[in-house]
Amino acid sequence: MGGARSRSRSAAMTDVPATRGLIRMALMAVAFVALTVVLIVFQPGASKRGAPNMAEPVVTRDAARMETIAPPVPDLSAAESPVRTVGPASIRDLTFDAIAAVKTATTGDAPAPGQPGSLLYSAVQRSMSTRASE
Amino acid sequence: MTAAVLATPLVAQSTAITETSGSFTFEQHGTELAITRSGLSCPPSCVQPLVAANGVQSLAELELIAFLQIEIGGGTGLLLDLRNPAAFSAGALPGAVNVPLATLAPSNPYRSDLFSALGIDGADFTNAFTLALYGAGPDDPAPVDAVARLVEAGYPAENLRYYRGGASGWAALGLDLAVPR
Repeated sequence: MGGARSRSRSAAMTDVPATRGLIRMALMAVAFVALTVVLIVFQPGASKRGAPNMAEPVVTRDAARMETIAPPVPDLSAAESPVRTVGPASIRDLTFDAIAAVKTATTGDAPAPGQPGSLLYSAVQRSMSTRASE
Repeated sequence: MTAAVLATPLVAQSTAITETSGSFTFEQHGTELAITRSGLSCPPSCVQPLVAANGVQSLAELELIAFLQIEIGGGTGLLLDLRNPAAFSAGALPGAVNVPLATLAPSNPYRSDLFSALGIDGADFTNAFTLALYGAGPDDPAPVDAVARLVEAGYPAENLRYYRGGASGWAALGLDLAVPR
């Protein structure tokens, strides 16, 4: 008789913490749902992220001017043939190509680098004359 | 009007004959006749005179062939093609050397090197080659300009020849154009 009493008392003592845990979980779930609902309904900070309250721009459109749409017709009577312009680098190449061609036609061989008529020879001569004049 | 202008090829446009004259007129039995020109715009493509400068001999095709045989064959002359390298590469007179007009300009700092290759020693032109000059055709001012620049530099006029027909005049007679190597 005494053994049965003590068994039921110990079972009641072990059920109390389990019941408290369930209640705590239920309260946390209710709080979570309530907080979620509050956040969804009120959306704090939504007004700050929104677009600034600006006056709507006014867009108007004039009637298109037809005379400006048509491209101007060039005066072809005054057109000239394209004129070839020669820059400093190309004039040097043109000249030494011409010198090589002249040398080939007159002597049969193009000037070797460093020989008269070559670009190297010309550069050396210019450098020497520049130093002599300084 | 616009459509008519755009439909007309550029080369068929009315153009001047020389830099100073757009057209010429003359009378025949009381009737006035006009000479006009269509083609490439002038300048630069103006009809060139037969004589490039005083003392410079003008050549036709047979005289030029004789020049090639005698002067170039004898090693005393050169035939200069004054067109740009692209035109020269497409076809040139046999034996021609490409010396573009720009290389003869006084502003070219390397012109003295070119003159040296042409046999000029400073101001001494005694060993200068006899040069025959030609361009694209009778409306190419390059040979006339080149003659003027060479004479201005002191090149003896008697050592200069002018072939007015140019590459197009040569080819129009069915004479061969060589493709330079």
